[in-house]
Amino acid sequence: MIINKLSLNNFMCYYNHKPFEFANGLNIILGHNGDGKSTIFTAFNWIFDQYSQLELLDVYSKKKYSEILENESFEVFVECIVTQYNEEYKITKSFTVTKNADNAEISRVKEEIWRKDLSTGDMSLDGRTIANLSQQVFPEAFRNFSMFETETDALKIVEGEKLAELVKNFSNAKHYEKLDDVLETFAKRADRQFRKEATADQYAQDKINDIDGKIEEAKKEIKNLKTRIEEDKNGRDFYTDKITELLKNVTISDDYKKIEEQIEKLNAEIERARSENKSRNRFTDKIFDQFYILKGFEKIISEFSDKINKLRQEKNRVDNEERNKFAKEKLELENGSTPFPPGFPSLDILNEILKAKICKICNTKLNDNAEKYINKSIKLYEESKKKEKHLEMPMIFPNNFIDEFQIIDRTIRLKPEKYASDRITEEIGFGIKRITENNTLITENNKKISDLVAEKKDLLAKIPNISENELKNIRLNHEKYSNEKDILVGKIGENRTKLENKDTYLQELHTTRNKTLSQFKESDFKQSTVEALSTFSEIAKTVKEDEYKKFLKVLSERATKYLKQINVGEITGKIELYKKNDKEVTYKSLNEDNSIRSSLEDSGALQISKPLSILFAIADIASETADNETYPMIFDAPTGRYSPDREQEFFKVLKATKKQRIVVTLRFLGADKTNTPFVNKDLFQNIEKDKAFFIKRVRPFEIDKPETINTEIEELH
Amino acid sequence: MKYLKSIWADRTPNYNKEYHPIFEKLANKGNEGGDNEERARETGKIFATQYELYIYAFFLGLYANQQQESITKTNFGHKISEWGKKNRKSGRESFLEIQDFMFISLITKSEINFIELERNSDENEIKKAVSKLIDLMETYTNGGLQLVKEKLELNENYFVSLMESPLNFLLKTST
Repeated sequence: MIINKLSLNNFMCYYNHKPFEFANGLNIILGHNGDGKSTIFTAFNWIFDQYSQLELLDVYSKKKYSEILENESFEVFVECIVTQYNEEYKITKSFTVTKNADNAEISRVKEEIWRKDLSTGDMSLDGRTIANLSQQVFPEAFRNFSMFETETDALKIVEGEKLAELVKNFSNAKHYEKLDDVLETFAKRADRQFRKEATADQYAQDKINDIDGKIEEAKKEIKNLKTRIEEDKNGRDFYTDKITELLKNVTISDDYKKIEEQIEKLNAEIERARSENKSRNRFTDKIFDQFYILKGFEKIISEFSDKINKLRQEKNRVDNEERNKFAKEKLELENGSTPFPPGFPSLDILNEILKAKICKICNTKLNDNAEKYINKSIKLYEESKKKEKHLEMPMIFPNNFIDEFQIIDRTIRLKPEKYASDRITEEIGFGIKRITENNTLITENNKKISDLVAEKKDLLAKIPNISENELKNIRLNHEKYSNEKDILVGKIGENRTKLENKDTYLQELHTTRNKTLSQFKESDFKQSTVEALSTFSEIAKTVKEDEYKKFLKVLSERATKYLKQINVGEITGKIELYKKNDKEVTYKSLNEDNSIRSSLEDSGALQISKPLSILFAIADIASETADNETYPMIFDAPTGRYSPDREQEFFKVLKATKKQRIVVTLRFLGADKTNTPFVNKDLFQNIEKDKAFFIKRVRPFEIDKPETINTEIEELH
Repeated sequence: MKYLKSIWADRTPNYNKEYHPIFEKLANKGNEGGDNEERARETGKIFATQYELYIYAFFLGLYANQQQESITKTNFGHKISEWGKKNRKSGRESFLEIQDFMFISLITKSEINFIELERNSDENEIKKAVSKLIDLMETYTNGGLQLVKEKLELNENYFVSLMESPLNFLLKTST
């Protein structure tokens, strides 16, 4: 089957009608993320996969919708033209969008197939559903292996039940499966018939029935045991591989952990040093909090004390002087030596005048008035003298500031370390020394850390396929896997013993059965026939398994061939596909000497090449076994991990398969200053292809406004 | 009984308005402690409060014996008695004793006749004496601020370029 054309009409980012006309060979579609690559897959799936469900409200062109008026409509469709044998089919899936006042109205999906006879050119409507036609032109069994969108898709589809189903359908095993079924049924029927005839005796019949029941049960148990042993063996092998891989890296893991611990310790030291420096660096605070501001204060304290002492002495001196003066005056008064008020005669003279009645000063007789005056004056004087006798020392210093100063002086001197210059110098020196030491430690530790980080990087470079996290857990995982493996080995041993016992038991049952049967008078011939049919059935089973294995071998060889072609110059090893169990097929990597190859030895590119090689091999062999019919492969080029040389090799292999391949990729593209993509022609011209397209969104557009998005297709020549 | 220190500490000293930009540049005006102070420090305000810069400048002027009269006076409205009082948020201990050291510096350097003052019971005379102490304090602070200003004129970032710069400057001035 060949896909000639895919047209997208107002489908998602493809505004109006946009066709891709494909060649029967290698087609490459270049496009950046968001430019409409995935839409191509969505369109193919919508057409070919009957189970594909699309939310129609999401898939019509928002640009188109923004341009029509209310009550107007437009059509959305995906159309695919394919050729198979001598007929061409135009397959169309469509719906209509109508703009209403407040929402978009979506019609039902319409399907249409036009068939054209290529020899006559006659066109006619094909009445089948697209789902029916798809089973003919692109059957699901092939589509599963022909269309994948991501690397993860490719990795998934080459393992498991789908692959087992494909192997069964395309190997000769399918013929033997039928034969096996027929023979088994025939043997059972013959046996039943034989027993019917032979078991006239009800007792014998019951006995045989009983034995048969036991035989069935034993067979079932044997089958279960075998399955369990097989599963446990697979598990054991899985853990053996894992342990082998881990053992290679245990030393590296231990070294890595040691480095991590050292870095952690150094970082803790840096953190402590930084924290200490942050606190020590608050110099302006310490000027006050630690009284560093008093660095020059000792001199002032000493001046202060001197001044206070001098003031104290002066105050004492003044105090003494005042007190002495007062004491002298008081004494004079007490001794009567205190003179009368100015201009007045002494007391003795006054008393003489009074006694003689003659004034001693003017020598005249004393009259009554003068006598009265003198008596009154003497009385007043004596009263005043009496008062003076009780006179107190007046207050000399109403204030006590000098005492206050002295108290402050004494208080301050109680804590001399506050202003001690030596203390301050020492503390500042110590602080600066600690800061310097811490800074040196930070620098040295950072250097050590940077050396350790480099060392760590070197270690990681030795094991490019292991993440740091995995590396950290290697010891843990090694222990875990070893325990798991030991458990499985134990179980295998136990089940083997059980199996041997069951086999013996089954043989005994058969012997007993045959003995019982021989008691009947039936011909040996009939019994031999039954036995022969049973043997044939066993043979058919064996041949079926052989055919299955043979097919897997061919597939493995073909896949290995592709692997080597894609990875020229690299030691690739071999791919071996094998039956994991009755339902699943998977693959493993082998070295040339058939020893298990660790995936750690593979580059990322080599790893992704493996499932791809298997897919190419499947496509080859499937077409060889299906009447030489070939099917296109449609996928997103998983070359993200390839070097340019490897990538060229990959496309060369694709081209050499000479089958239709449609590959979308974001490789070979660049972007200019305005982020507009362009094709890197120097790189792309080295890739040999039959057709190439370049898809991109028409500029300008706004990523958040779907009504501005319009993908255009440019065919590259 | 009257205490001269209490009367002095109840006053809010001034400084020369010319130096106001230094306060703007180096001292945090907001609340102490927490994010606000950290942010202020990041913008070069290395003194947690304005009075810390005042104290710093006073001691600089004192040690260098630099005095300068104010032409136009201004202050930041904090009484001396509040200086050195720290709240819990700042994470620092109070250093109220610095008031004693400033006070005794002023007593030492003052030319007031304390014997006369001791004998004087007139309240107004005591107030006048305290004003003289405050004036002296102001002249030393202005002297210190002038030294800071000169440093800043030579290197605008002198006080922030190295955390220990204010300390170094103080040490040089005090020896």
